Amino acid sequence: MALPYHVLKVCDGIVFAARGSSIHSFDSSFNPISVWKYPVKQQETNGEKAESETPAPTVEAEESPAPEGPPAKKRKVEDGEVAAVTEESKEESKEETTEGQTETKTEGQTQEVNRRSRRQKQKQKTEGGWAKNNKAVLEKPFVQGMYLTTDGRHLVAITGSDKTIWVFEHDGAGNLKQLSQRAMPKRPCALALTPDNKTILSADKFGDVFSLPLLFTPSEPTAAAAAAATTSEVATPEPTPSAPATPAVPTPPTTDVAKAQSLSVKPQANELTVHTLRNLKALENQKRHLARQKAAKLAAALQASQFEHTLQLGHVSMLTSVAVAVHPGHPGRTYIITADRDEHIRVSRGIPQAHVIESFLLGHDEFVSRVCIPEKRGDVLISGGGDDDLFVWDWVSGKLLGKAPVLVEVKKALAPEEAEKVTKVAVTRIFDVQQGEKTQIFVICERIPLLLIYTLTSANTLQHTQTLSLLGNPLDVEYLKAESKLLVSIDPNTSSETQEEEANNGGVSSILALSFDDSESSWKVTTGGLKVTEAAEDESSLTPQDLQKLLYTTESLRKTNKDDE
Amino acid sequence: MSEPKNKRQKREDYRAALRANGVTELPRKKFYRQRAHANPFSDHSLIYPPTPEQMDWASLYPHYAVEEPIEQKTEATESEETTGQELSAPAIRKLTKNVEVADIGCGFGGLLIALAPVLPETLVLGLEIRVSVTQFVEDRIKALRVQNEEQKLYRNIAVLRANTMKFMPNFFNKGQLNKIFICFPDPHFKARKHKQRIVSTTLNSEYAYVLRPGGIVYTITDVPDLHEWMVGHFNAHPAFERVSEEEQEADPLVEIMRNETEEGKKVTRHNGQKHVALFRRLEDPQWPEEVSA
Repeated sequence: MALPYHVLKVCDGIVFAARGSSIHSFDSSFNPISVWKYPVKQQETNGEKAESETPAPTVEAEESPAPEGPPAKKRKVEDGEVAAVTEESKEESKEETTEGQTETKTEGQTQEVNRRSRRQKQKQKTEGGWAKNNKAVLEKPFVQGMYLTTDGRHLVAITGSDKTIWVFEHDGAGNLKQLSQRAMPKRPCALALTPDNKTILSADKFGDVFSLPLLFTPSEPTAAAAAAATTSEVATPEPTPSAPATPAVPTPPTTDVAKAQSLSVKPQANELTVHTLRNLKALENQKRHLARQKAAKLAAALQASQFEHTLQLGHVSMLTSVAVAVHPGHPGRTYIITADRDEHIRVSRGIPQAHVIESFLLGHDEFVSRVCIPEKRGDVLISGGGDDDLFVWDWVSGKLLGKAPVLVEVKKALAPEEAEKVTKVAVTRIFDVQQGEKTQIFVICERIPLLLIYTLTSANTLQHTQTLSLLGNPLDVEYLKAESKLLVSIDPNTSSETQEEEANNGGVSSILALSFDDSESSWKVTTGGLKVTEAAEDESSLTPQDLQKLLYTTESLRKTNKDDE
Repeated sequence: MSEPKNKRQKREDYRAALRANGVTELPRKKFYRQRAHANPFSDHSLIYPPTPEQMDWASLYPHYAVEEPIEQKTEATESEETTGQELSAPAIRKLTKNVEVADIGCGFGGLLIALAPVLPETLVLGLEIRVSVTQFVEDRIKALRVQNEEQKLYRNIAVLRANTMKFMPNFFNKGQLNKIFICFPDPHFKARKHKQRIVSTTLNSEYAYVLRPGGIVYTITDVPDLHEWMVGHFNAHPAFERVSEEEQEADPLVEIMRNETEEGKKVTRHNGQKHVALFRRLEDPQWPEEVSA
């Protein structure tokens, strides 16, 4: 089993290719230049350091790692972190005892403590189990996407399960220098960079789009923690004895702090809104616990907000693609275009007016997974996803210009027995290449070993021009302008190459190079691709099933088990 | 806790019988009860049009349908490259007017029924995510229409099952609505569930999209914190401004909203508080480039 280069990005003559959780760079003839490896060790220590530097406000410990914090979901953890959690809970139990002493004794207290420790045990069990089940998958999060600034000086990458956005400085020769890593509150699904190369737009799994400055200086964690301590204290109705009585400090310049403060610091129901005895009891319980929980929530919110990120817009649906567009007639007007799992494509204004929705591009019957605005045809947007067709839009007016078949073309190109099996397609990439006056659109679909090639005509219709059979499932497409070569990375595990061919070629083809044959006016596979011989180091730990899960995620966006009531 | 079979059976029998009768009597609530909460994030098997143009409004407001079905052909010939529109379903009967008032989360429909005679010239639509409850309102409106046939009442109200948090733009065009009611929404007390609240900074952008400038969002709740939340989020949104207290109290619809919604009546019975807030949709700001130019 071999790990494919599943994400490609070309910067002039340099090819960046993500393989598993590392980013490799090559020159135009695929000589390796450098490798960036996901820093597992470093990350763990970072995490621990952050933990220890946070002087935990006394009360908050009880629930601090709990998944009940506002934005926090059960986070996928690594083995090391599980250990950290256990340690934390030990501390917690210690603090619990002190807390018990300071609190006035209530009759239910012992019961309370018992319940708490039981809850903790459960927590540990579930988190441990969670980690174990996903161990193989989670050892190192895969790179999910790579994005380049227009000047090519920065590369931005997202890694999956740790929800992190990485920014690298690119020296122009293929060497990357890691500048920052920022863990988002929710998993980013796609990024876009604003035309001025200063802001990253991150579209996440929860439907929100956040803007982050490309370059940032991390705020002092200690300062943030101090702020957390003070703010939590100020808001506490019954200050705990051990809490320092410092005055409120100016809050860190993040929107989340305000958010954190607005969190339920007091019960939201009152005696008048509760109509049953049971609910009343619940309310009393809630009141009792809120004081303690609040501090934990503040800390959790603050932890997520150690860097500046601002909510720009949001769908109530998982986002799949985000693009920044400029009005063809008004270069000063920028737009943010977002696509989601619920068939919507939304056109909003750019920052700072992202709250204004200009239009929706409606018409898809299934999820939208990709939107593409061709470089030289800024007035047209092409979208694709779970539908049988690609959609072509005049995105400024919100009008559908036409559709182009995908499923039909796929079926035509496959062998009859194969074609029979294919009943639906999930478009994973729509990629445009400008060849002189001609705008070519390349489309790949999940688990379909074909490359579909269309031409965007001057009348704004998509004309299918060629279907190219590939050796295996395509994963990404990029264009190497310097060599006029189209690069298609394929999953070597699905390769139809025989052992003999592999031996002759010197390895399994992993990135194919295609060039345009003028005499036949069609694209052909040429030499100069990348073959893989040496095994990537992660390979041993990943089962083929796990790898499949990580590589083929688009089809799972389709709605299947629609539940009701 | 699964309810005993015979109860479910009774409900079904009741509803079937009611329909067989041609729905002349008002439906009884007890046969339409449903859990008070629905998860807005899950993929319910919802029915919604791909675009507002493909919405079959005529089946909801049969008395306002245009007589002749508009031929889709004329549109297609206008723009030859619209292969997409040619594929669309058979001609949809259009309405003489568009829906202009929406009650998001209409529940058992008290507000709709109270609004029908007050806004006789306006089409009012209730949107509700719970199936049984929607069914109830549907049957209720049908019965009311039959009972008030002579006065031609209740022809301007209808109900639809929908998840507005996700699919509002599938039903309404930009700036189509004049008023949106958000009455006694699910408070979602837990901080973790705040994203499920019907009012949020990001959702307000969608309300701004479907509302025309000058249009009004009416909110009412008995939960003080939710009230603060809604006020906070609408005030923070650049597209909305709060309507002044005087103007609010002068609006006759506010009184109806206070007293006629089912939830409002329940709060009155329990001597609860009712917090009202109205927000006006402002004009979209100028593009930054045009401001500086």
